[in-house]
Order: sequence, then C-alpha cells, then structure tokens
Amino acid sequence: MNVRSTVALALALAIAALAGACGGDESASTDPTKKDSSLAGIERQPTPDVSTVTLPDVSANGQPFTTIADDGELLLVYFGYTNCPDVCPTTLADVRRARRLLGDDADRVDLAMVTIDPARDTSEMFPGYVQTFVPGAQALRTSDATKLRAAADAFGADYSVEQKSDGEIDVSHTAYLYAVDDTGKLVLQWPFGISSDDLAHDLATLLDRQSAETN
Amino acid sequence: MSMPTRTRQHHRLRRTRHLACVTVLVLGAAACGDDDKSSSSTDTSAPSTSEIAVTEVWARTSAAGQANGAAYMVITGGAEDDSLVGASVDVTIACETQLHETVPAEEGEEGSMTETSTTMKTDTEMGSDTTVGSDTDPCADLDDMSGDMTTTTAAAGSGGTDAETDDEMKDDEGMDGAMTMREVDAIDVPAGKKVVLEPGGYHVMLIRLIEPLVAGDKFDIELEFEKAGKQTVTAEVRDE
Repeated sequence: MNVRSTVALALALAIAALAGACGGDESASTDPTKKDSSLAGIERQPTPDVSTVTLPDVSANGQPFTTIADDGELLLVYFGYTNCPDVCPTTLADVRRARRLLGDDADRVDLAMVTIDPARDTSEMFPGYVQTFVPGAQALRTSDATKLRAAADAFGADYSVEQKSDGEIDVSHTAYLYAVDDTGKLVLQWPFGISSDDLAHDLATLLDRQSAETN
Repeated sequence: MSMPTRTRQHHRLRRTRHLACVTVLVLGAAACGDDDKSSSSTDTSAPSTSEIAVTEVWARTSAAGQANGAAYMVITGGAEDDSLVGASVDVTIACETQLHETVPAEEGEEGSMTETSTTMKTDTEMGSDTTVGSDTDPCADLDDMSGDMTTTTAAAGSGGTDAETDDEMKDDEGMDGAMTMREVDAIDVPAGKKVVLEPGGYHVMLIRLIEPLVAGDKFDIELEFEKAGKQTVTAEVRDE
C-alpha cells in the first residue's frame, strides 16, 4: 500500500473510530435496519441549520428548492460535480445501494446534489446524472457564485474550481455526504469511504428517531 | 503493511525517466487498440516461478452524462518487485486512460477532495490522431479545446520529488478526511504482495467515456508492467 493510501486509510479509520463505528458492522450488513442506535456518521454540535438554503432545482425548471426534508423523511445533500471520476460516483452509488437496503423506507430518503461546477454541469445534463443514482433527486445548480458559496457555507462545505494556465481544471470539494431532517437541521454527515451498509443503518436509525419525535 | 521504502525510492527515480515514454505508450496503445504482446524487450527478467496476478477487475456503471469513469482491481505481485506503469483501453471505451490516485489533500481543507478532470493531451504530439476516425472522433473536441492541455498534475508539475512525499505525510496529520486526486506515473507491485486499486485510492481513470458503462458489460484493459510487460485483463461493469 502506498504511503498516501495508508494515511488516507488511517484517517478514515480514525474518523470512523471517533464516530463510534467500530462495532456492529457485520450485523448492520445483514440487517441495516437493526435497532442499534450508534451511528457511523458524525453528529456535529451544535447541529447546523440549513433550512434557509434555497437553490434553483434544474430538474424542475429551476424552481427554488429549500434543503429541508419532506415530513418524516430525510434529505441527503452532496456537493460535487459530474466530471468527478472516483469519489462522487462512489459516494452516490453508495447512496443508491443504501436506499436499496432500506427497502420500503427508501422513499423516505431523498437526495439533492449541488453542483460546484455549474459551468460544465449544465441544466440540461445535470438532472439526468443525479437521477441515475436516485430517481427524482433534485439537481441544484446556480451560476450565482455568491449564492453557491453561501449555500456551501451553511453546510460547512468548501470547494474550488480553478482553470490553470495549461487549461487543466482543478476541482476540489468537500467529500462529506450530509443528512438533513424535516426541520432543516443537518443531523448527520459521513466522510468519504463510509460503507453503504453503515449508511443504510444510520439512515434507518435517523428515520426511526424522526418518527419517534413526530409521534 | 510494511513499506519497502528503499524499493519505492528506487522506483521513483526510474519512473521520472520513464514518464514521457510511458505516456506515449498508453496513448498509442489506446488509440490503436493494440493487443500485441511483443514486450520482449521489457520482460527479459520475467519471473520464472510466479507471475503477476490481476483479479477482481471492475468498473462502476456510469451515470447519465458522466464524462469520466474509473476501473479498479486487485494486483498480486509476482516473484520479483515490479510496478504498473501504464494502462490503456480501446478507443471505443474511452478517449484516454491514466493511472490515478486519490490521496489526502495537502492544503488541509476540511473533508475536501481535489480532482483534476477533463484533462487531455493533444494528439498531434502523440501521433495518435491518425488512428482515430476524423469525422466521428468523440475525442476531437477535447483536442480542439486547447492544444496545450496536459495531463501533468500536482505530482509531476511540482517536480514529483521523493522528499515531497514525506513532507505531505506530515502535513496530512490532523486533517479530517481531506483528499486530493492526481495522476501517478507508476504503482508499485512488490513481489508476492497484494496491491488494491479501489474507490478512494488507486484507480485506472477512463477519461471521456465513449459510451455509458452498462452493468454486465465487459471490456479489456491492457496493463503495462515495468518488468513483466503487458497483460490484458477484462473488467466487468458493476452496478455498485
């Protein structure tokens, strides 16, 4: 294993350990809805409020979409771009798989992807991309740089798109996947590399919590 | 896992020299759909006991509009230390193929990853232009975008020195899942050891997919090892 991969792995393991993800992996994989309240993701304190974030949804003709889940549901939010070869498709495919593991509850987990590369992720192609992973997913795109930055700030996300002098485009973006509840609270986030089993388990746990609160 | 430090340094020195020709090789092979196994000049020291084994070769299905893909695999080293120095796919799969690595970012951005995208060398200097249909060349627009576009990324652009690697490691401490992605010249394949190309780590980047990758499809990837020469493996497209 390469030096850097080792570092990455160590970091990932450290994060997972901090988040209390050391146990229950096997049981989670066989039954992701198992009632184990420990979460693999990270709960931030204080819980960020993203209920004021509104961006155009180009999968719905640019209608404004606010990052709040529907009642009793969860909204996953991801900042990425479609030219991304490795990390974005990996994370989004894990979301797809996690939703399958949730079975009937899959419909209670929606996805909104925010493109941090609106110049290349056009309104025409971007919805199709994100809906490959989650049918009906929101494709949030604004070419207003200030608005995009404000949205990312609300989540604690960062990004940059730079065209270098040689024409190469460097894109960097926060690799976290965020979960927002039906009040617009950012209740959990996962680092890159989380397994779809852990993701499904966390989602099931969050859905249970949300149901308990509303009942 | 133990780090064969001296071996790695040794490889790196050689890699730098090999960079230019490897790139030409990759592009040339991709453009020609070159199957030939005539790597006799490089496999004179081929192991007699065990050969490099490549298993679990796969690529993820591509999403609608997804320009670039990635292929993953497990490589088990042969009788002697070797390194993967190139990979190529047929022009019906992707315009270009590169070895890439997702690594912790240098700059310490929280949970962020840097990826270089839409990189394409001009084919004129690589001499592969003539092997691609001119009228329907799906890669032509990339060529037209900038004659000076280059695949050189952070590693080579900043000199790619060995010392840099150690510095990066120190800088990485305390960062929260932040990573960066870049092209690599070679991937070490130590004798008898398993090297895993997986999401978030090493991968064969497929630049500008020609057709969507559909679950169940298979395509060949020609791998080029420094000592063992070329080996063609078949990747399965998986919906995962």
